[in-house]
This record gives sequence, structure tokens and C-alpha cells, in this order.
Amino acid sequence: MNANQLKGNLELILLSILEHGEMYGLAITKEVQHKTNGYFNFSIGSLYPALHRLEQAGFIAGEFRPAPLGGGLVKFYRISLSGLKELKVRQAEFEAFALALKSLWMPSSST
Amino acid sequence: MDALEQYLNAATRWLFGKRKHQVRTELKGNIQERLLEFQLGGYSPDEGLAAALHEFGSAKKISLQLLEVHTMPFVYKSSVAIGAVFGAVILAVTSSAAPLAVTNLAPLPECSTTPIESLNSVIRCAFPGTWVRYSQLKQELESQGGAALLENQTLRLRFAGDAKEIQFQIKNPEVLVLPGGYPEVQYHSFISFEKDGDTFISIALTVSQIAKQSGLAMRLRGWQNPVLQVGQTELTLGTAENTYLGVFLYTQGLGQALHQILPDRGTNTPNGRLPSLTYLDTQKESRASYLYEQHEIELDSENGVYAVVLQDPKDGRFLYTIGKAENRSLTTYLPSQKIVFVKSFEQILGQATLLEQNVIILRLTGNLNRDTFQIISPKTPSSTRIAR
Repeated sequence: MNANQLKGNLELILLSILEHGEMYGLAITKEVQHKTNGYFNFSIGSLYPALHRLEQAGFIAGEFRPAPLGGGLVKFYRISLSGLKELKVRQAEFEAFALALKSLWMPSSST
Repeated sequence: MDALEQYLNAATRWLFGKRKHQVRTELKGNIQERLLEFQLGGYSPDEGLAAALHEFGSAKKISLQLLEVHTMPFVYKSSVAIGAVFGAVILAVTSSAAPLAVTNLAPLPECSTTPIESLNSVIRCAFPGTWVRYSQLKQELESQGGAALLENQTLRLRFAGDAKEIQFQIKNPEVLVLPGGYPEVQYHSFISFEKDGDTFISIALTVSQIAKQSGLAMRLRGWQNPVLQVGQTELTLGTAENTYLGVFLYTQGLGQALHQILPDRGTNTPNGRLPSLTYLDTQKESRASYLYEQHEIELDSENGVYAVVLQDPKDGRFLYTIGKAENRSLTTYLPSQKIVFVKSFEQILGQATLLEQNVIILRLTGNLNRDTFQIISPKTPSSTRIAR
């Protein structure tokens, strides 16, 4: 996938994943790769700045807890109410954008 | 300074104070978790760390992105508050190599586990129940014809029936104190600590060293507070107050055993191998990462500890999870699609195209260094149902 496309939609991807339950960074990456059959294949480290941006905006909230395998402390993120609202807005925006773009590729009905 | 510390320093280079500690802790925890997964897949610590850091990507790139998220907004706010001229100075400083001088000590990051020591601004945390108390270990071994001696941070153990002495260092890594008086918070990387005039040593370290050095058969019995048998010596791990779950030791033993019979996969990592084994945790927080659902498998065999091994059709990796069967039923987390039970690894490996999830059920014998598992098969392929 085009890197700019991924960068532009990373927050939407993260909110979409966290809508289904709380998760920590490493698990989010695996979930994204699994759900998209590896289509979104990004380096794990690039996730954290985006997660922190969403946290600062109040769309998600993080809490430190021991990691499942005992590697140390990891931050579990969960989506907030305003995050859910934001997700719906961004989903609608994305769908409208994709639809508009698609219409440019369709044969025009007026000709 | 090791590769992980170098990576963390580079990634958090432009962060300061409490924020730096928090981001560092988060990154470190995630990297260590991935490292453990690689290790459970048979990698050495060095190989696992190299592979994990490769996956996390460029530390420099992360540091610049974090700068944009955390430090620049702060600098911008400061510059508005104290004047454009001083702000410009701060901006100039942040864009040079020298870090900002820190004059006030931020609140210490929370220690969500049990703090065991707070000394020279360093907090040490310990997960209850994952440590063995030296005085108790010594007493137990001596009462069973063995011996233990802790001297100069070297632990020496002798088990009845084995003339060979096991010895290993329990010295912790050096604590790094950051410039500006900020403490470095250390969590699980400590392998020992002192408390109440006694020394506590990591169970995982102790068991792995015994397995490595002793020629005696090692066996684990039970799930919660399991009994570890080394030759004729028996040690109970965990206490009523601080429970120890055997899952990690079972996993360690199985991971090593499986690694010997499974092939390496691919050539995409710095050391030329993809992980052939990944441990699927059964905890609620992590199981979602594989989109698995709770399954109940009815077993045609006795209760005990079982492993479910499957191959991911997407990348050929072997995934495994471990659970305790009760009433001949094993609750585990597996893919929601159709599951096909097979009786041998050859059946999986021989397939050209993996369209379905082929699952192998293993019964763990509890032996940690020989005959770790037996391959069993459920009575019928339909004997599993998804628990809703």
C-alpha cells in the first residue's frame, strides 16, 4: 500500500480497531495485519505517535498494565465516547470521499 | 549499553520529563513482549531482540514523530506564554543535538505492580509470585539432600542425586539514571532483589538455568502453584498469597521442543528466519489480536495440560496456545472458521495450500527437558463448539 495513503488514514485505522475492544500497541499491529490479510503492513513503532495524538485529543484513553507474556508494562488503549463519535464522522467522510472518487472512474450516465 | 537501551534512547530523544518516562516504558514493554514471543519461538535473546527492533522500525523516525506530537506543542505553548524571543531560543535548542535542561523533577511514573524498593530515585517493581525466596529455596533443598549457596551474587545449587553443581549470576543490569535527575524505572528486567533481609530470584531464570545445566529429568505438575520436580527433589512454586501459574514454564518447555521439529520459515528478518512459533495468549486482552473465538474442545483423554497448535495459512507460522482441561473439556481460543483436526505435523507440513485451519492437540507431559508432549487427536472433528 502507498505509504502516504496509510499515513493519512492511520488514525481512522486505529479507531476502527479499538472500537472492538481495548488493546496495546503490539496487539493492535497484529490485529490490523490479520484483519487486512497483511495489506496494512507498517512498522510497529510508527503506531505510537498516532496513538498518543488520539489520546491527547481525548478519543482514546490509555492505562499501563503488565503485558500478557510478562515482558513489562504496556499501555492498553480503549476508545472513548468522543472517540466513537469521531470514528463515525471519519468513516462517513471516508465513504463520501471514496464514493466521489469512484464516480470519476465510472462511465458517465449522461453521455 | 545494550541494543534495546540504545533504541529507546534514540526513539525518545526529543521527549522530556514524565512524558519521556511514560513513552519509554510503553515502547520497552511492547518490544520486550515481542522479544519474548520470538524467544518462545526458539530465538536466542540476541536474535529475538534484533528481529523485534527490526519490526518496530527506525528509532529516528519514531523520535521525530513523537517530537511533533509531544514536544513541539509544548514548545509552542511555552513560546506564546513567555514571549516570542525566548520561544525562538527554545526552538533553536530543540532542533540542535543538545537536550533541554530539566530543572524540576516530574512525579514518578505509577508503579502498577508491587514496589519493592525506592532508592536513589529508582523504583523497582516486582510482579508478585514470580520470585523464589532464597532462604526458602535453601531450606527446601537441604531438607531433601541438596544444597544452596548465595555468594557474591552467584547462586550455586545442588540437587540430591546429581553431583553436578548448578551456578549462575543473579546480578541485575546497571541502572541508568538520566541527566536532569530523572530516574529510570526498571520493571521486569530485574532478575533479583533484596527485601526483608532476604534475596528474591526470578523463577523463570532459576528454572531455565537448572534445565540448561542439570542432567536430571525435570517435571512440572499442576497448573496453579505447580510442583517442579528435579530428579527426586520437589519444589512448590508460588504461595497462597502470591500465586504462580505454570503456564509460562509449560510454554517454555513446549516452545523449545516444537522448535526442534518445525522448519524455519522464510528469509525476511535480519537473521534470515521468520518466527516458526508464536504463542497465543489466552488472556482476554491479547486474544483479540488474532480474532479468535472461545472454543470448547471435548477430549477423549484424561484431564491435564494441553496445547493446541495450528498453522496460520497467511504466513505459515505455527501458533500455539496452552490450557488446562477440566471434565475432559479444554477451553481455548481458536479461529472462528472451520477447524480440521489432524494427527501429525506431517499432515500439516505436506499440504501445498492451506485453506483451512488444521489443528493439532498435544497433551503436555509436564516433562520440561525430554518427552515434552504426546500428539493426541480429539474423538471426532465435530467435538468442538464455539462458546458464545
